Parts: sequence; structure tokens; C-alpha cells
Amino acid sequence: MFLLKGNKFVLFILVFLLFMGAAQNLKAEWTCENAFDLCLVTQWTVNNPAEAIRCIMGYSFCKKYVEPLF
Amino acid sequence: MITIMNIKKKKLKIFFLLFFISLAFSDAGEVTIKIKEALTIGNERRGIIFQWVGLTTDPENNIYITDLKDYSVKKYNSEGKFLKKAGRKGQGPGEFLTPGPIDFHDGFLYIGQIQHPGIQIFDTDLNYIKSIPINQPLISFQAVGNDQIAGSIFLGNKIQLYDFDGKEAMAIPYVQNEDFMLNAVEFRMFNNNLYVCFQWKDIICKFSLTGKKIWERNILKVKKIKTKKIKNFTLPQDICFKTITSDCERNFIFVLGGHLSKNVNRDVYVLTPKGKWVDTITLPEQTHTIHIDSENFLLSRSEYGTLVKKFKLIFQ
Repeated sequence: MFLLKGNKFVLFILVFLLFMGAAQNLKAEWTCENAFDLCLVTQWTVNNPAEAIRCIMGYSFCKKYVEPLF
Repeated sequence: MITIMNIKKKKLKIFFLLFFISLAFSDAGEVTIKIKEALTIGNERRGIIFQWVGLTTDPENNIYITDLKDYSVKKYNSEGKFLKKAGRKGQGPGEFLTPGPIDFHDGFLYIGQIQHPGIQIFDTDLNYIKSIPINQPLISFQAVGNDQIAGSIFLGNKIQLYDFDGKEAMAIPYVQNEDFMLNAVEFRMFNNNLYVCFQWKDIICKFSLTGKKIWERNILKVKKIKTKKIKNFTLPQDICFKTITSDCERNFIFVLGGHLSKNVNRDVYVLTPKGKWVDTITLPEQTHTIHIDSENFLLSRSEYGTLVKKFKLIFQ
């Protein structure tokens, strides 16, 4: 009985860990929004906000061409 | 009794009159459109496609595609046989960084790049001819004759015409407000009209070349597009329409729907030139664009952009 209970506990922990792992993977999923966010960090400076237009175009392209490939 | 008969006859006459009037004013009649798969292109060892983006055809229905992953333009005949490839990675003449939109006009190919300004002209043997130094990247473009290119630009809310030196000629404004992100459009000019579909709005429009709106349609019946705020930007989440084109037989307008269609990236809405909905075609696979050749074959994406599928359009 104890072993069974113990096994259930271990099983619960395993399922929980798996669930957390899956959630982490989902969080880290590559999306057009994440790519846009990253683009702003790398391209947009206070002195040159016009660079943001590249990120917006990239987002638009991503939504149209790339996202159906996910 | 005779009076009742007379009234019935009159009613019948009025019914037939109305019926014939409705037929006379209907510009499509009862048309249904079916597709029949005819060909798959790119599944041979030669002419392998890595990731095609742009596609066009010439009057012989040779197929030209831009391949983003190997920086090239590829030519296939109408039977799908690979004929030639040109281009490599670079920024020189005949080279590409992100080959994208492509158009054919009057014996020449016009190839643009995603997020990079300028258009390169090639002949149908894929020999580089010259470049048009347009100073900003275009969302989409069309070679329209008289040595001019029409392009939809991000910040302009207009279709801008350029000459072959890249100088701005006339422009056709299609919207007045300043919401530049939501005003991104794909367009097609033919029969002296401009047809526009909005990427982020449920709007398809027809304009005269002077910018006068002839009609506007809301096919998807979407009131508000979902948005997400990232830093200072409010980004639309779902694409309404991806591209717009027409067929050669009836001059119907074919508009590819995006995320908000019943069948995401697969539904093609068909309208008459007067804006009447005719039918909705559902493609078997998601696609980012469609093109219709001069024999009314519809070409679209297959296998995640590694193949092109060719479907015969059947009007019934």
C-alpha cells in the first residue's frame, strides 16, 4: 500500500515536472511577437526610432509568410 | 372569378418582370467555382525549392518563383519542368538578400526584396538587366507599363507610382487616416481600376485610378481585430487578407484570406468586378499567396513552401 502510494507520489512529481517542462517550452516558443520584441531591442535606439519601421515590416512579413510554417 | 384570375396573371407578370430585372442587373449569375489539382512543381531533384515566396507567370505560362533560402529566382515551364536558376547571396546586380515579390510585365521580370528597397529587372532567360533604385521597401508592387512600378508603402497610405529611375510619379491615396500599421495593403491594378485588400482590416475596395472609391466590401464580418501591446507599439494579431489577384476569363477578383477565415490561410474569396461575392474556394493547404496564370490555373503553396501546386479553376 505504501509502495503504491509512494509510486503515485513519484508519478505525480513526474507528471508535474513534465507539465512544467512543457509550459517552459511553450513560453520559449518562437512567435512573430517575440521576434518583434527582440527586433526592437536590437534595432531601435532612442536616437533613431525610424529603425522601428524595419521591425514592423518584419512582423508583417512574419505574420504573412512565416507563421503558417510554425 | 375573372377578376381574381386577372390579379393572379398580373402578379405572375410582375414576378417574371422582377426576375428578369434581377438577372439583368446581376453581373455574375449563379456561378460556382471548383478547383482541380493539375500539377506539383519542385519535387524533382533539379530545381528543388527551399522556400518560395514570390510567384508569377509569363504569357506562355512559364512559372517564375523567388526562393528565399537560396537567394535565387527559378524558372519552370508550364508542365513544371525546371529550366533555369539565377541569383546568389549578395547586394550586387543580380544578387539577393531576401528575394520576395515578383511580377512579370511586357517581357521582363521585376523582383523585389523583403525589407530591402529597390527592384531588379531580369529578362525571361533570367539575365539581369538593371535595377530600379526605389528608396524604401515595398509591401507589394506591380509593373504597370509606361516604364512605371506601382508599390504599396508602409507609411504612405497610398499606392505610389515610380519611374525606372526610382523617382516618384503620381500616387493613388486609398485611405485618409494616419494609422499606418493597420493600413498596409496588397493591391492589383487592371482594367483601369485599383483593387485593394487590407492586411489587418476586413476591407476589400475598388478605386478608380484617380483615387475615387467605387465600392468597399467587408467579407469576413469582423468588427475588431485583436491587438497586442509590445513596448510602445500596438500590433494587430490576425491577418484578414493576404493577397489579391484576378483571373483572365471573367476578370473576377480573388482574395486570399488569412487567420480570420473559416479555413485559416486557405479560403479564397471570389468577387465580381462590381464587388458581388461569387463563391469561396478552399485550398487543401495553407498558403501565403496565390497567382492565376493566363490559362486560369491557380498556383499556391504546398508542403511549407517547398512545392508549388497548380489547380485548374473550373467555373460552373
